[in-house]
Amino acid sequence: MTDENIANHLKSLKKYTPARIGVGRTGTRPLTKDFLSFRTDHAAAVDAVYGEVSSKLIEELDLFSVETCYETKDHYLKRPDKGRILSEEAKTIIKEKCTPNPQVQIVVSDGLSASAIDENILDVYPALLDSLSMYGLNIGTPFFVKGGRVACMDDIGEILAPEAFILLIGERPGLVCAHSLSAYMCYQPKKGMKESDRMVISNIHRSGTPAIEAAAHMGTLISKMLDQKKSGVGLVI
Amino acid sequence: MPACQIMDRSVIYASQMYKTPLITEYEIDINRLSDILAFEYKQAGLMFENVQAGAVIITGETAQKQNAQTIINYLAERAGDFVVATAGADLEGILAGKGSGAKKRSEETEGVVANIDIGGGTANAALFQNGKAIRTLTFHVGGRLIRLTEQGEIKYISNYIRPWLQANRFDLQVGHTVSFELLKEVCLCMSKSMLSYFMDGPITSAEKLLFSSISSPLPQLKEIIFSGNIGKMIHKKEPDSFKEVAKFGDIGPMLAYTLNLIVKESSLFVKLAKETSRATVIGAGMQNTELSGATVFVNEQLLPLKNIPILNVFIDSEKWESQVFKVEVDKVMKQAKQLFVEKKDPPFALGLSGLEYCSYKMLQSIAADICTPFKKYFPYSNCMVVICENDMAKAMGQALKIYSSEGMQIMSIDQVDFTYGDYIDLGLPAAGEAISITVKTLAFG
Repeated sequence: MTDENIANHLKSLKKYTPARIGVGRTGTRPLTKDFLSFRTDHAAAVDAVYGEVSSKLIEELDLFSVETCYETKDHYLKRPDKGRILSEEAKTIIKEKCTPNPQVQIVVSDGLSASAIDENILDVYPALLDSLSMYGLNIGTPFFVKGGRVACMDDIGEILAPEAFILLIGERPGLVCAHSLSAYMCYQPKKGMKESDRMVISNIHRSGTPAIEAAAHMGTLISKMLDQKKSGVGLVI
Repeated sequence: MPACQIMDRSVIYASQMYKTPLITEYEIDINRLSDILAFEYKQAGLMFENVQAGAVIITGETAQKQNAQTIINYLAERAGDFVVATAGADLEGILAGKGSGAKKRSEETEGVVANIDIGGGTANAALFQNGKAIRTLTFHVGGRLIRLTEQGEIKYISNYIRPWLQANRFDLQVGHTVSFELLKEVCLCMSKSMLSYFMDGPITSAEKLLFSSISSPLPQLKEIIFSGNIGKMIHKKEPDSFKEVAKFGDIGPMLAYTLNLIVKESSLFVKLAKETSRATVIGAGMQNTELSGATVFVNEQLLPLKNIPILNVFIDSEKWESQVFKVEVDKVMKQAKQLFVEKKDPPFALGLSGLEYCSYKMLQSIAADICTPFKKYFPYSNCMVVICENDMAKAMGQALKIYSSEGMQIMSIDQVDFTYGDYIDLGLPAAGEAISITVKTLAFG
């Protein structure tokens, strides 16, 4: 192959992946520009984990905010179990403010990427409300959980006993994208539920799963859960 | 979002080949055709009602017969539940290229791969690059354009090639006997004329073989594949007598030989076709049914919907402006109203291409800007079809539902490759929500 052929071939391969392939080198080291972009992406990932969701945004969505037992970000990273249980204060507030036993409970949480919420929630959340109302479903009182892990839905389920649950949560950032959002869904969340009963639409971000389409599809999945009274691997889609 | 794909296609039955039954030179014999069809269905062990999707492709000279349209309709009603009827040289060329393996080959190799499907009356060429058809052209080149007996007596010369024969001073006349050398010379010259388009550019009077003139020269080719009945014979040894040339009563065998001779002398690389005589049919089967995106917004009760023309608006996500879009979509709807005077419902399908990223705000604005002019131009319509290039059909459908008038049926599907002026058939749900679709590309630029 000639150099030009190799370059063309590499170009077509690169179209298939955002991964760092064919970046080249100088001597034994990466090129400055690639090294810098690697450092930038790494910094963005760290920022996503340690960042906070804009309080203005939470206000704009008309959500109130509660916390898990995570205490600090460092603690949150070392003790995933703490992110799965709500603080006593949170439980009191939720009991006080939320309508119990709704058909669908929506919760938003920063998880491992605050910027995932910042970047995507204004597309996902209103589209999700539209989709649920198109299926004629009644929605409970939505709120925001700071320092949440996926299984915090179980703890919330114990308090509010919703029929179906949607948790919009920031994903662990990678070096390609630091603001990817996931939507975890399940039927009747409760303590000790099996992971195989949860469902997820992942990779929601600008160059991943389209936010509006993901939200529109959540409505369909939730309505199927309510019809079939189950979720996860047993659900017929 | 989850995606569905057709993983495998297989041929379960291939019928024998028949000559088109004709009543006169200008009319196809429907009765004999339907006998053939009934017989072959029986051989295949199939009932008409077993067939859920089918394609009727009337090709080449047969499409010019007076009752071709009647035949298409006749077959469409009988060959199965959901039948696509298409004809036209451009499409045929592309289908043959899919069937012969040229399209697939172009995905595997850098550079342009051409397929030339040569049958009785026409040669349909299609050029593929990276798995996409980039050009088509058609020639009056085929085995049955000149027919003769085993003694060398000419029985028929098609009017389509007379101008070219004259320009090259070939004195052939019906009823006369031709010399073997002259016949070979004619075939050589015909091969050279056609293939010159794919090599160094057309030679003198080659344009007289073209079906319609071309606007710009063809790109440099890397490989060439021959399909069709002539393509099948291309690697045969030289016919050395009239008996061998005229074994089908025409010049086919000689034409196949001379084509190969010319290509062998050139720098073009000839690939073997996966299918030859059946390339178009196999290609039609491959083209016929595809799947939409897995998340769509449709009312299954209204399916299938056939032959909906697509007019599209391109939206650049980065430069999107509500005002500009409003004007564009109004223009397209106005055009749709003028083009499709017959009051069909749905009147047309609005294609939304581009739009790689769509925010919730954009979605709302776009949906509102579609519903307003739709109501203005098509007040009688109760069904709106929107086809998105990118994954957003369900969201778009839900938004349109909110902004459209009460009772409007919204059909919104996505992940469809289309261009302005294509026709689309929306079939039944095939895998989950994904529906089977057929995009019929007739015009091609």
